[in-house]
Amino acid sequence: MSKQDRNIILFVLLATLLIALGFRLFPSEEDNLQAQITLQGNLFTTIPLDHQEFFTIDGVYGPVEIEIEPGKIRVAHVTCPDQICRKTGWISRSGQVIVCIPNQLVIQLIGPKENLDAIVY
Amino acid sequence: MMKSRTITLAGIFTAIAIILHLLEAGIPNPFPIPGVKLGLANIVGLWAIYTLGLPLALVIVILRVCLGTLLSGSFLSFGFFMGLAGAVTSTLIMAAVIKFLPHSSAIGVSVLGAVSHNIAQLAVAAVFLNQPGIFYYLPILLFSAIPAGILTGIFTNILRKRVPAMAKTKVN
Repeated sequence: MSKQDRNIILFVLLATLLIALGFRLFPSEEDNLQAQITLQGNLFTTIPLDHQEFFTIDGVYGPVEIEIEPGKIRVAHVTCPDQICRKTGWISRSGQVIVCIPNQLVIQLIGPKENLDAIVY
Repeated sequence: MMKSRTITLAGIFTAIAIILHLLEAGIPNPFPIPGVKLGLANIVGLWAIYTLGLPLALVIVILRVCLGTLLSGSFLSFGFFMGLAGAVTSTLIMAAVIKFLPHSSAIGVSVLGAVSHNIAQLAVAAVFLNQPGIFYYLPILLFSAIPAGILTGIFTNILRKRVPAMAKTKVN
């Protein structure tokens, strides 16, 4: 293996790492995301995720604190016993949901892009 | 009019390439990642560039993809187009590397060939499926292209040394 060979390999390795890093640091964002919040099966409100907001709604089980930042939304604080909705964390892609069953709350993201989970051909 | 020796060599190269292609499809893949192949048929492509020059190498490679997929029933399939794009692109890139990076042996050339092969295949897949997100696969593919490229490069080096009849080179 010549020196230039080794350089080529190192270069490709470096490029791979940089690309992988780049994907991590600059994830693609979606525009025009709307969060549809449903309580007990009925639409409560639809909020565009284009600003910063922190509000509380009354779930069936107790108050639910919801935090919105540009492009993402999460449940910041709840009183339900399992805290699954809060542990879901931020969601930012259309199709993603946060669900709290005790509160009968569903937050779903709606956007123009259709995100496929898998493709089989 | 081409020398009959050249035509014969081209035919032999094509046959070997097709055999390697089919063989590789028949053995279990050491890489558990989908879409990652050893690319043994690229040995012949690279060897052909050295021995017969780029134009014939391109013909051999295109023939290999067409005939190989005809024989394995995947002609004009999704995999055919990906394979065609990858093979042609990598052949062109490898010829360029041989010309502009003359100090690299077949190993360096083959690594860059494998890399460009994978990128071209990803590009075709992204266009066909209309999913640019498929490029998230790029780091994994590139990382696995390195050992595959080194392997085929080592084989090409050995073959060029050991088979002098096919070593009368047009390109160094």
